[in-house]
Amino acid sequence: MSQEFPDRLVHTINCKQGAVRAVRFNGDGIYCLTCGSDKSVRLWNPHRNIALKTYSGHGYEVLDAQASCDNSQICSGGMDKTVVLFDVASGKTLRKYRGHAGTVNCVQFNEESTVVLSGSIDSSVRCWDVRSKNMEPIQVMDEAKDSVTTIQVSDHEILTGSADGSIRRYDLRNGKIITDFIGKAVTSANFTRDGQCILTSTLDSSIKLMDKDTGEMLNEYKGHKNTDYKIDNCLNCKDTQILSGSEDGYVYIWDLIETKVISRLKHENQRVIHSLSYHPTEISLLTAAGDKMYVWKSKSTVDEDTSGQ
Amino acid sequence: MATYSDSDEDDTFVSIGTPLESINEDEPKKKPFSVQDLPAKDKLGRQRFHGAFTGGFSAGYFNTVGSKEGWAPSLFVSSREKRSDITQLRPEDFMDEDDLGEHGIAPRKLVTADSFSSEERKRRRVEEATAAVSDTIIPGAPAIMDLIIPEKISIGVTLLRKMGWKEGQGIGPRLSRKKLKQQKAGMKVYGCDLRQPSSDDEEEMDDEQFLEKVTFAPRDSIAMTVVAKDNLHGLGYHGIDPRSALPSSHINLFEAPPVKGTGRKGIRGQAFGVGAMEEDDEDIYAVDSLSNYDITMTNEEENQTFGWTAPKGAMKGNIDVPVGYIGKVLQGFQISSKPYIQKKAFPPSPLPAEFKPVHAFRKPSEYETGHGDEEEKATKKKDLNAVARGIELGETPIIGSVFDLISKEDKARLDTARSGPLYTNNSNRLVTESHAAGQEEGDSSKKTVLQSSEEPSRSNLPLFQGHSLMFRPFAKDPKKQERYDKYQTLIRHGKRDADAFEEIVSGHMTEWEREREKEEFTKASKLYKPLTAMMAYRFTRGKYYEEDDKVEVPAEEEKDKSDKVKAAEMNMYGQLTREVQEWHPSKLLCKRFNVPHPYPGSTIVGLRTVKRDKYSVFNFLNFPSQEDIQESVNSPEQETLALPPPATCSSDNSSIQTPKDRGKVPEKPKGFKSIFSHLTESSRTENWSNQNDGKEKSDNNQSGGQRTEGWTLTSEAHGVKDYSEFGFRIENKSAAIGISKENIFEESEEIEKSKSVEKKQEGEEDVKPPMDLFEAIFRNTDSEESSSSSSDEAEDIQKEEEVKAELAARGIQMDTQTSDPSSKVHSEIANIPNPDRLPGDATEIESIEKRLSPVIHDREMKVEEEYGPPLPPTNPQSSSVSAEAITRVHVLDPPNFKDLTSSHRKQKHKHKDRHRHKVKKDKKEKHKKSKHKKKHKKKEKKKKNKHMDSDDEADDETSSENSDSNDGLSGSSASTERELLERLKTLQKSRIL
Repeated sequence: MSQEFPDRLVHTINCKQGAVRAVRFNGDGIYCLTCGSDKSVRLWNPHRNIALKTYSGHGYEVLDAQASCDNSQICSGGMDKTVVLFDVASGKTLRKYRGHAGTVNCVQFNEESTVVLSGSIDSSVRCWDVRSKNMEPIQVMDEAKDSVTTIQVSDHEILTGSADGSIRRYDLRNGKIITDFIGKAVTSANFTRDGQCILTSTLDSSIKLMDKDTGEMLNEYKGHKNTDYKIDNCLNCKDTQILSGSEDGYVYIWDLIETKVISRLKHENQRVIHSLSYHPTEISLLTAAGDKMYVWKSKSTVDEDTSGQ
Repeated sequence: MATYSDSDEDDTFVSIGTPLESINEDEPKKKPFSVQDLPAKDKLGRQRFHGAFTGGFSAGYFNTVGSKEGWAPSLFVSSREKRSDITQLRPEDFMDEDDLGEHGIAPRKLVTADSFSSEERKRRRVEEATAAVSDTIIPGAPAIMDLIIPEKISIGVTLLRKMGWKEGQGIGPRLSRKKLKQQKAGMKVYGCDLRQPSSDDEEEMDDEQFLEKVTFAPRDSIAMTVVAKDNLHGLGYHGIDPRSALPSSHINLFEAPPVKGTGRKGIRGQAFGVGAMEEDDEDIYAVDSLSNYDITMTNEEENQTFGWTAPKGAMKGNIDVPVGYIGKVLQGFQISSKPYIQKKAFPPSPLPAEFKPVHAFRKPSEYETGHGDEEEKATKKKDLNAVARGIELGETPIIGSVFDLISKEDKARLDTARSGPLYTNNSNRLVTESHAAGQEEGDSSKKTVLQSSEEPSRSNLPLFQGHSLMFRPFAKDPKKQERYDKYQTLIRHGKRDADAFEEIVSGHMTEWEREREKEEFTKASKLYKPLTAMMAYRFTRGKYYEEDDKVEVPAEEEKDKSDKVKAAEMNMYGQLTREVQEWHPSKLLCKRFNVPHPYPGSTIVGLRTVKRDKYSVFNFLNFPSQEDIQESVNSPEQETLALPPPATCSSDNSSIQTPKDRGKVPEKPKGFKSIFSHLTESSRTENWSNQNDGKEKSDNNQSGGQRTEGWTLTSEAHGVKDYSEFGFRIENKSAAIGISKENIFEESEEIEKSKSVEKKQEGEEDVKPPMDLFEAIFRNTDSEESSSSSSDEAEDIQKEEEVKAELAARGIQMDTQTSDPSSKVHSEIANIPNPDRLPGDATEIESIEKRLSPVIHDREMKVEEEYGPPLPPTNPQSSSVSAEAITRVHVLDPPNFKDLTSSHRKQKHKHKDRHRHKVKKDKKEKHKKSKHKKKHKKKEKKKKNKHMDSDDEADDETSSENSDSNDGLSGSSASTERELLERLKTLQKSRIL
């Protein structure tokens, strides 16, 4: 079976919002969000290269954003230590949660988009209730010893990666914290789409696929360079490939099973590819580097797009 | 109604009225009527209302259309003749009296007749007017008709007129002039009239004379009109008079209204909201004029100093500046006439050089010296050693080059001791010899050497040993305290709890008492554990050192790493890197995640914590009250009593035992122990001679490592004695270092041990009441131990040696803190500014740590109770490392030291392994006992130990659980890297397989 991967650069979009700190697909992959260093969050249709709306309300660089499951809200966190909730249609700031003592590294909605979880450099994860008017966090998880760099949420689990070299999985159903010590500072942790494994990137240029239940390492992916920056990793839509940014201007794509580098996507004139987001269903990849956003697709998806138009 | 009864008997009686019904008691009582049950009847007694089907309300004759006579059809009446008779039928003709009645449909009532109604009158008036106008020329002028109102005089007036009344006169009989006058004055005169007749009166008097007979009609009184209050305003309220309110002419705002005295132009009256009790509003509708306002913009300088209380003169600005004064005088201020006298400032007195800005609490021993009697002081004086005396005399202490002063053979021995594995024996000998040489008041130089060389070794000792001195829970009962102290020492020497207790327990106690005391001791010792262990537990070592102490950093780093890190480095993820903790999500979070709360009843959010507040020694120790203890602690006499000469008993034992009990000991460890304890009791008061000890000790030293178990035991006792006696004079640094290092090892082990033992004890306690059973169990454990010890005898020997060595160290420590007066001298030495003093000197640390001591207990408990994530796991290695770090500073001969430590570590491993086995056994036992526990729970409650409440139990259980896991952890972490690697490999293999 020949694996398809997003090898064609469809668009190179200059976001014009300073450095693009993060790029994220929305829930269905039609739109995407970019977080800029100019304090703004921007909504795009990456497939047609259209900037749809700009959301401003942050006081400093925006580091992460996510769209709610119904696409009605956007949560974002940034260096102004706040978590902001935007209304997508009006662009108004619905909530502004202050409480973190430092830069907010990552934000996530829960599955029903009723809670915003934010991880900060102050080594805490805070849960903000979107439904209520209460501006205090519902719960603060401060078990991490160092900056919380990444958060993922499943239906009953909260996965956090921390710079103390551990990933912590808060299992709400069982009332347990499962701490897996990885070793080096964790920059990115993701559930696989089947929810059985956890993909972790660490600052020793290594990506590890961990078994969720036992904590054992299933595979390790190497070849890229990640020693200084918070570089995202992701899986493709079918859990067959592993993708990660790198500090050498490439995006690396590995085969999940064989741990071989299938391909490298060259980003011209870029040094660090730090953020990437894979389309939930199609072979389509968004990457962010410098002030640009790149849209990658495979040949088949490009054809589909053109035929659709 | 009168009835005549027909009966014959009742002929004569006349009954009047209706008789009451005879009460038949058998009849059921009638229900009392309620109002709604009573039928509504009209005045004829007919039922007024009926049910809907029976005709509604009554109509006709008993609800018929007919009458009493029955229904009669109306007769035919010919209208031919009587046409005029036929009148129009009115609705009333069809109504009965009910309908016409008060509540009927056409009620009849008295009304003014139409002729008297106002309408009728009006109509009549119009008629009259038309009649009047009809004959005028002006044809039909209805306008005028309205204007002409015919005079109408009421009947009352006409009557009055007929009676002679005229308009303007009052009504009543005519009055004489005089009376009229009085009435005119309008005053009623009560009593006598004092009024002087005025001239006017006099004038009138003339008229009176001829008008005497004329009577006058009374004055017409003005009828007082009483206006009924028909509004809802407040009393006395009257609205604004619109005539005054609305200005009649044009208002000119720009001209001041002409001022007319006090009369104000404006609206009189009141507007809304002003009640009778309130004051009038201030002329709210007054016409305002702009001229009332100040519209000029002027400099308001005059008002700038509003509120100032400065003298008036100054305000005006006429400040009299003295000649020669340079500088501006602030407005509102004056220059003082009196010159300002500056106070003379004295510099603070210089601090003495040895002053420390912290308060060091005196040790109990010092305390004694401070408050003790003269005799004691004298003895202390006597005990001052050469260095102290030298210092007192002003000599500079010789401390720097110790080894220069040691004789050559001693030096050689030192070297061998440092390098050789049997350093303990060597140092033993060294000590004895040096002691022999420097008997009592020997040459001062020798003493100096001993003292000074002691220093570094001391500095290597664990920070905190004298916890029994810190806290004396059983000070009330000196014997018990003594036992406790002994127990403590034994525990610190690595004995297991049960064994230690067996050794110290006295014969006269009952089983139950013994059990109880054992438990108390365990608890107390658990609570007051050495600081070092705690510290090691709390902190991890810094990754890099200062430049000046040159150590192999990478090597250290290797050791520093925990299991986790190593496992992670080797990609051995899984069990080793995983940690699962109980975590309580908040209820709302669960709700939002649509997940049932995992701990429905829990009030905790986040990680589980243990409450610490209620956990106190005082909960379970059986002394009367806190105050008593404090008293006892404070009183120096008591203190001295309670202070046992450390290790005295053991040395006594050895002196007695060695010759006699050599053979017995190994076969019956328990018996030995009881004997041992018994002897301790009996021989406590005995004095012991140094000479005897010297002999025995030399014996022991010769016997070396080829001893049987019994031998080792005795030698152990000897070790105690030797070192306690001469402990202060140990010269071998390296040995001391080794020992101290070992201490730390031991201590970290102790924690585990105490935990495991405690756990076991808990189990035992649960089973307690049936004594025999308990005993059986206890024996079992004992026998197990003995069997295990016999099985690996060689190891035991090693262990005993270690213990011995440690005992030596302990002995020293005990001495420094308890009995030996020279400790004081040491602290003095430490206090003297000393160029050669090393930074980590023991004395100073001790003082600090003592200051910390109250905190320690608390923390220690925490360490016991919660193994939260922020703490690094108990790692004996790390503690050992830290110990090394401490020692390294003082080590003069690093390579030697290293050898020693490594050799020791090897021994340790074996020992550890064995220990782990034990732990496992303990666990099994615990399981068994937990079963027992459930059965015996009720019984237990009946028995109910005062010192153990259920809370504590729960706490202990958790702690024991924790200790379980911890045991596993520490047991695993206690090994070297190599071992770990091996373990990992095996793990991996098993995984692969």
